[in-house]
Amino acid sequence: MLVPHQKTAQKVLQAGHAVPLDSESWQNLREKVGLERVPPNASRYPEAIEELRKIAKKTGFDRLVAEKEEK
Amino acid sequence: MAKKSFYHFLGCIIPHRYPSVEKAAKLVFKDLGIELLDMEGATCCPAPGVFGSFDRVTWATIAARNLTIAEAGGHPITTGCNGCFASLWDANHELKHDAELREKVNENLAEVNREFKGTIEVWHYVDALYKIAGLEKIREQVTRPLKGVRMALHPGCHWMRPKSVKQKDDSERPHIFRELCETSGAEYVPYKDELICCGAGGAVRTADVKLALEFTKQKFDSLIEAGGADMIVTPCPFCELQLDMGQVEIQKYFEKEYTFDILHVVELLALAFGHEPEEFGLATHLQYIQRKSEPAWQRIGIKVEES
Repeated sequence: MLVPHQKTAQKVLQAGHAVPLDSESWQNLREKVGLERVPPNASRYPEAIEELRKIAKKTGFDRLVAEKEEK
Repeated sequence: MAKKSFYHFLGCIIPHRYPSVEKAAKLVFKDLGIELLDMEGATCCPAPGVFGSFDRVTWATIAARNLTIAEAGGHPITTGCNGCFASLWDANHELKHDAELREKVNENLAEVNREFKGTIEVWHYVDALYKIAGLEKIREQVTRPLKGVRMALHPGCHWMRPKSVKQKDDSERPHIFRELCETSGAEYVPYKDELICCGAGGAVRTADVKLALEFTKQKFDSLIEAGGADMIVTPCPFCELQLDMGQVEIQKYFEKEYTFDILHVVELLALAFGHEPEEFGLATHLQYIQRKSEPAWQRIGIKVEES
């Protein structure tokens, strides 16, 4: 597993999206085109992210993509 | 006939990096009398290259969680992203045909009080526009035909592949995306590498952006060799990002400058339907922000008032 791919998977478990709405500038961009600042996806609904984390815990995916300690 | 409604699966790149595509989709579908419903609490599809490669059951479970949102509302899904379409369509298909996978996925979904039932279908915008609206109705909406605009296409990979499973179009000789784009009045320009990947997909961009850009550069050079074009149109925001922002990155990595305007198919149709580019923010594409530039308005068929 390459580190950039591992980070992408971790990001989905943290934010609900591989490419998250992670700065105000992206919200400003949405507003500029006439949309609500935060879309009606996991960016607006933290409970959706919580569901992903529960699923990842159940399948063991959270451990698969966790930072590995140096031995 | 009852108004057709779809749950609108936004994915990640459209709402978070290219919101002009989200806005253009809303304008175009509304013009065609098709309702787009918010899909509240949808997450990443999840990214097929990364999740699909790491763990098939987790990939299918997260995709199925998204599908259950639409199942609960009783409407099909439409998405304007080839990657999201790949995850959602493929997972829906596999879960309907693989009882063992479905059992494992539903065991996982029970943790969050959900169940995949297999009651809805997943449509790409291209399918919905071509089959539900239809080319005739789309042509009726065109009030600004882009006559004289030379349009190259980048269909991308996942909408029509694998051909034998998806049965959308002939992936080696596709015509549906072309016919849809030609309703705009723009003139189709063929080039040798039209059907190769943009370079971003399959988690390649994430792993090695320079390698991904070599694919993009090859496409651009192939198009220039064929005589060039005034715009490149794609049905995917990840391809759009790679072709659009990729030009800025190619300049950095390879010191070669390209200045193609890249449009998502719904942005093309929004213009052809008479919407002004400001209505959906065409000039907010990342290459224009990075380069402090703007679209080549006249070249893409938009009249600019002389000041």
